[in-house]
This record gives sequence, C-alpha cells and structure tokens, in this order.
Amino acid sequence: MTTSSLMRYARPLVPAQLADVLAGRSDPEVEATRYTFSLDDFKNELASARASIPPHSTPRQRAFMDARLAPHLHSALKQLVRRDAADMRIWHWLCTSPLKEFVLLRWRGDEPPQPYAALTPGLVAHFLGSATLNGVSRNAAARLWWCAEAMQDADSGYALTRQALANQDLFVAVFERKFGIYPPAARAAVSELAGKTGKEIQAAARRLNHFLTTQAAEVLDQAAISSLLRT
Amino acid sequence: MTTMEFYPYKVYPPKLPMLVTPSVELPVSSDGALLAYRTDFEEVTLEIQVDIPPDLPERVVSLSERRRPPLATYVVLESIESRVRRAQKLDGLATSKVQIVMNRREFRGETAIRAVVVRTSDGRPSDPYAKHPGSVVAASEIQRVLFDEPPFPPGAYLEIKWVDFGGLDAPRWLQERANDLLALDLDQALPVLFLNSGVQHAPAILNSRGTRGLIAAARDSLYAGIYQYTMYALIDSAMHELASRQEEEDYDASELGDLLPGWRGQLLDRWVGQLFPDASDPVQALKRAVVTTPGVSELLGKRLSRALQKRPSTIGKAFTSLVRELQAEGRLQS
Repeated sequence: MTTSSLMRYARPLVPAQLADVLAGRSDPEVEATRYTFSLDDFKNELASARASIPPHSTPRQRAFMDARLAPHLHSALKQLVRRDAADMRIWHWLCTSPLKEFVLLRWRGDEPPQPYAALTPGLVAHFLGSATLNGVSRNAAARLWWCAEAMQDADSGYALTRQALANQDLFVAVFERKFGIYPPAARAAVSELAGKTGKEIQAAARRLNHFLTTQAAEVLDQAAISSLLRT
Repeated sequence: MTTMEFYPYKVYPPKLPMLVTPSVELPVSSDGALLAYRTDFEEVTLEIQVDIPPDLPERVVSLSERRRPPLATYVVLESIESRVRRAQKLDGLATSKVQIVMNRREFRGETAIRAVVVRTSDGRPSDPYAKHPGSVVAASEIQRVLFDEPPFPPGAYLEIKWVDFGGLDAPRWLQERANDLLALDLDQALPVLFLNSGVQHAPAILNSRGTRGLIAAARDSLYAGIYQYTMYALIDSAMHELASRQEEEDYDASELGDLLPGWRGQLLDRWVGQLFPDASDPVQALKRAVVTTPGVSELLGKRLSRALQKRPSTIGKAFTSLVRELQAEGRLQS
C-alpha cells in the first residue's frame, strides 16, 4: 500500500491561481497535516470507472463515478476529524494534486493534455470552492467525503451515499440546502426521493425547506422528516 | 416583518432569556461573540440556562392543552462551516440548564447557539396555534461562538457616511472639496468613505434599488468606479505602511497581521493571493515588492489594477450593463 502525507495549501487557492497551478507554473506553499493516507483503492476504482465512461457523456451521466468512488475516498480519509474535513485548503490540494485526474474525468469526461487551458468557471468550482454549502457541494472531492460522512451508518454502510450521489438532481437538492447538513434530514430526503424525477425532487426539497423555516429540523428525527416529505 | 407576522401561527414574541456561561474564561467580541479561537482550550463547555416565562404556554397552545402543554425546550447548535446541526433537550418548561460540550476537533468558523421552545405533538388544524411537532413557538437571541478568526467580510474595513461636503456642518477638509463626489479618511481605526450628498442626484442614484433601467446601470457604474478608487487607495495605504516596517527585525519572518495590526494587515492578507497569483509565497513576494520603487510601480500599475478588474460586479460588468442600457434607450449605436 502506498501511503502519503495529506497536505494542504497554506492559503486557500483563488480561481485566478488555478490555471498556473495546474500548468505547474506556480507552486503555492503547502503544509503537511498530521494525517497519512492511501489512495490505492480509490485509484483502482477510478481506473475501473474510467472504462465505463460513455463517450461524449455529460457530467450528469458521469454521476455514477461519484457513487462508486465516494466510499473509497471516505475510507481513505476516514481518520479526518470534522474540523480538518471542513478545511477547504485540504480539498483544494487534493483536487489539484493527487485527485486532479479524477476531477477532470468526472467533470470534463477526459484528461486534456493542457488542463489549464480547458478551465471554465464551472470546472474551476470543482477544483476549488469555499466552506459554504454551495462551495463544498461543488468541490469534486469534498462533496464525496461529506456526503459519505453524513449518510453512512452501521446498518446500510455506504448504500445511501451511493444513492445520493448517483442522481445529480437529488444530491444538489439535498446537499445545497441547509437541511442537508443535518444527517437525519439528509437520510430521510435521499431515502424518500431516490427514484423520483428531477422536478419531483426539486419540488419536494423546496417544500421541506419551506416547512423547516418554522420547524426546528434539529429536534426532528428521520421518521418525522420522512413524513414531512410525504405530505 | 415582525416575528408575529413571519409565523403562520401564534408565537411568543419576546426573546427567551438565555444565559451562557463558559466553563473557562473566553474573550468576548464587541458584539458578544465568544472567541474560542483566542484560547488553546481543546474543549469548551458552555452551561446554558434558559428561563421559560410562566405566561408562555397560554400564548402558544390552545386552552384545552394548557394543563399539560405539548412543548419542549431545546438548545440548538448550527454551524454551516463545521457542517453541524444538533439539539440538546432541557428538562421541563421552567428555568432549566444544560451543558453543551464543544470540542475544537469538531468545529470550524462560527457556531450559532439558540434556545427554542417547540411543539411536541400534532395540534388541531382549526386552532390558530402551531400544529406540527418541531414548530418553533419561542426562541432566544443567538449566541455566537467562534473557533476561527472570521474572514474579513467585504466592507468591514470601511465605514460609509453621507455628508454634504459644502454644508456648514461638514469638516473643513471636506468643505474644501465641496464639488467632489467622495473622499476617504484613512486615519481612523476604521477608514471612512464620505459620499457627498450635496452632489445633485447622487444620493438618489446611489441609493436606488432598481435592477433594470438607466438609473440602475448608472448606479452600478458609479459604484464600480467608487469601489475601484476606494480599494486602490486602501491597498496603496496598506502597502506604504508595510514598506515602512521593512527595518523591523523580523520583517521577513512575520505574518502580515503581526506586522500591520488592524484593517491594513487584514486587507493585504485578503488580497495578497490575488496580487501575486504566480508566486509560490505571495506574502514574501509582496514584502519584497513594496520596498522597491519598481516593485511598487508594478504592483500598483499592473497587478492591483488587474486584480481589481477581476472582481465580479466591478468595472467590466457595470460598464457592459451601462452600454446595454444606453443602447436600449437609443443613446448609443449598437
């Protein structure tokens, strides 16, 4: 097993830096964290998922990669405490360094010889992002880890994680809303809404959000939130 | 909108009294936030006392429920940055206490804590009271706990004041520039941007709230110009102040914030990555640049103007919107 030190940038990268970092023209200061990790399993799974990418596919069609890879990324970094997992400098480093290939394959569908020349604002967000709901859910790696962290449990393992990530509409509807950081609400939403159409998911998530403007989500359990979603 | 107007059912309008006592001494900010980041404690325990006013149940549940009101009190924690939302229940509906343990390994940035009283069972649909379990019927003010120094929000290093520069009440230095649209005072603890209310239509245009039309486009363009001028002046001032510290013994080794306490250090810390996106160590690059004349010229003439123009909603966007509006009005050919 190959283990490496988990690093982070000394400062969060800003979009203006990204092209130069990817091109190797800039080498921002990094610092070691107290963790070591191995991406062997993740890389093996990525190689296998890569073979399944349909030609000319859209990012939405490549959501299956997230579902397959999230458990491997979460396992590789399971020792991260939440404070460190909430440090976007770690995710910026992971996405621009050991996980660069994954970010490009997942969000572009290929690995261009000059990735810095292929950057669009959307692609930049998948490499970087801030510690907001939106920023975390766009960062290609942070979204997988946090989703797995919220959804996995002893009974079903990573089953709900895979369900949440396999459907782009479902993931965005749940994890770009505040109720998505309350695990019982996220689990209820994924369990209830998996298999629905994009429009149905959006409508149900909006309705739940509306209920939670006057109801304190934190005092409700998963069953109570599921029943709100069914109303 | 008042609290009463927001909720579609009867709520208890006054804030619930909540007393938060940390187990260790924590510095407190001017707005009452507990500054855990200024201490080394791995764990902070907060004893939280909530006093439920005796008249609360009769205001928020129906007459038939008042003997045993279906209500419960919770302390709720929320931190988007830490991705934490959780609640801890208190005993009874009188004065009660709970201990909240906050471990530094779990939290980042800001956590908001508040006490809430919620309904615990379904109510009758015909009642004007809350009907659903979890419905908030009373809440306290929010107590903030900071585990990291807050990032510098835009505008926090600047106070904005409208003054008639030509008016008799205006300071003399502003009277001397009675026809200017704006002026900056950088000698205060927080810099002040003065806008001249004596300039005809300036307050009306700059305070307009529309999103379309010529006035909105003019306002955005004006704001873009003011923004650029102001940021340029603030950063220029901070850079000069930084250069003046070059003789200090630990100039090379010190953090910007240590060299330049206050808004200047925070401002440069925020901008340094954008000024030197190509440098492996932007802070050192900035420190080197500000102490030479060519360095300062390049910084101000090229790097700062380029960085400012990359800011969203500044000159480029505002100019495009102004051109579009002028074209729509037929005052500019497409």
